[in-house]
Amino acid sequence: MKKLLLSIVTGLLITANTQAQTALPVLNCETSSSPINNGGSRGATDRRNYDIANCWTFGGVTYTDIGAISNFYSAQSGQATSLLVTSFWIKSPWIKPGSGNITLKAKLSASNGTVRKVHIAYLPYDAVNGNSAKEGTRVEFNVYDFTTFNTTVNNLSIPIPAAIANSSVPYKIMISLAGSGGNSRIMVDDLIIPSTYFADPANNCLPQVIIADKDGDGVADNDDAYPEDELKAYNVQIPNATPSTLMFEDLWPATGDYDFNDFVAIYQARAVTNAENKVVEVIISTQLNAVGASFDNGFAVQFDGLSPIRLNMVNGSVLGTSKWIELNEVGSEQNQDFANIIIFDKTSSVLKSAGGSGINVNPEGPFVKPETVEVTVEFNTDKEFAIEVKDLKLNPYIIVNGQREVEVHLPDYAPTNLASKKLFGTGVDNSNPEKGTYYKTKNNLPFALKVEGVLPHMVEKQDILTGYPRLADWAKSEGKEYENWYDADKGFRENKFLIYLEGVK
Amino acid sequence: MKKLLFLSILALIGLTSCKKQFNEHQELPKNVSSAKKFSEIKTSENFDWKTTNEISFKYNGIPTIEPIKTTLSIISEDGKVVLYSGNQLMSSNFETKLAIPTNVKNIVVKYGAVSKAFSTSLPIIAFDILPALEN
Repeated sequence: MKKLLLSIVTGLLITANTQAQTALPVLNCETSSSPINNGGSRGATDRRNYDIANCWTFGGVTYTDIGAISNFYSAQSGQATSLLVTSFWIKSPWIKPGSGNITLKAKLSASNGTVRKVHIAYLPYDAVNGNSAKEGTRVEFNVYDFTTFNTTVNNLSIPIPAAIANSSVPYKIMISLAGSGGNSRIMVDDLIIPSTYFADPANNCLPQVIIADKDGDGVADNDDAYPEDELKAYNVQIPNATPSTLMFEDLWPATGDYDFNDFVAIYQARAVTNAENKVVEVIISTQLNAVGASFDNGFAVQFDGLSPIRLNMVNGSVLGTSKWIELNEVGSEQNQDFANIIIFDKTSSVLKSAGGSGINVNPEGPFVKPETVEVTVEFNTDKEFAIEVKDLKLNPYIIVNGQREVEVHLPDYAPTNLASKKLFGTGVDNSNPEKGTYYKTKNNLPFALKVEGVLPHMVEKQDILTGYPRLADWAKSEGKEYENWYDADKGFRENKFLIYLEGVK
Repeated sequence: MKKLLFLSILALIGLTSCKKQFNEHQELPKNVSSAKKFSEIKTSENFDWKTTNEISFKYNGIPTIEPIKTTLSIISEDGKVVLYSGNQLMSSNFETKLAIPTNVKNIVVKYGAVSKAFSTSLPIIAFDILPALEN
């Protein structure tokens, strides 16, 4: 029973890297993120940076392709005129030493010098008294003394000391290059340490640690938004991290009164992904704030470019009794090339009028508490159907007054299959499907706006410029000026023309 | 002496002129629109009316001795807003598009303990875990 419990606990823990560590730390100065031998100092820097990224560290030691010991590059000290072991050195990543011999090749860059030595030491892990890299006191266990000063390659082979051989605790091996007299450098290459790599490049190259992972999905509990659900790991807000305010005019293709309050909603979507970064579900949250229209409009979202076959199920739509609704077996709309999710069929299915004209658009009230509809779209995570966050391109739109063929989208967002293309180019609409321009007038004016943040909306029949005067400057400058045209902190709002519902800032 | 006085006056005029231009821009009444009605606005068809900037984000992988996988996250400078989170193999490249609200000026990219800040004024942000180039 104890054994079983132990195996379960072990299964719930992952190392920082999630992989068994079996590689042999080798410093051959040749590996680079660049697949080609780019040569020269750039190539040397690239290769040393690769080794640094893999937790090798260097003091006064560079890489060179001049007179390399093997292949194209070797490590080298500066002119070896210091006998200190701290002047020129290479430290291995944290390793668990095995047994056998450490091997390396060394030579001088020129045939001169008085003293040239290669010192070999180990550094224990010391989390309490060690330096910032948690390295304890250096223990030297071998010195190689160059007896002749020429450019011949010397093959060094040094046994791992018994004190650390086959250890279960981490150590580093430190190679120091020291000397006096002359100007030759000491070159080193092909350093092989019989050991197990035990550093974590993603954690300041400290030794790997055991990290809790309750659901065993390979994502540490600290990073896992769903630490007890192996099918879910991350929340990613889409298309961006903040909620947006959607504001529509619903008379398209005719011109409206530009109060942009015929349909006002706070809209945000969140993708839930698994440890393989595949989308498990998308949760679309729509808070209907105001209806300044006589039309009873529906609200939907198209996943541009995504076939409905990618979906498993749609839950949470408010569908009322509208006869135009036709759904497939997973709950997305029938007869669409791309997945379309009806969030609600009409505003009256979500918000009931408290009397008067419109809902929440008259400053005298009465006001109705905004309602939120949360729709969960589950995605198929099977390999052939799975998608990633970058594949999610959400296209929110309204369906005008139960006429399924009349849609109003954000500027330049394409209509769905079910929208009537005959309406394009009529009224004040200047859409041009061939150019990919949609739902804009000849003067490039939109019929809907999506603004980042939770904004107050316009009082009924008030042109949006009365509430947000700087919107005109922003638009005329094509976004270059007054990019915060809606910002209360900048004093860019005229509040007497705006309606602040609870929670709106 | 006369020459010095002349140059000083010129410099003063220059400075005053610059200051006036700056103030004129700043002192525009905040709530007076440059158009009376929305329908009077005219923009080029290239203007997309978005209040976000699209930025291409690239994670440049680097070969590793062992497969290393940990969380790559992109967050706002104050740490409150997570723009992206995912499990990332250190050696693999990764690209995505970010829609950054125009009022977010800086973001922070984290990979394990490696953290780097970037300005959102750049159209492309390239991140890797390598230290700054050393000589």
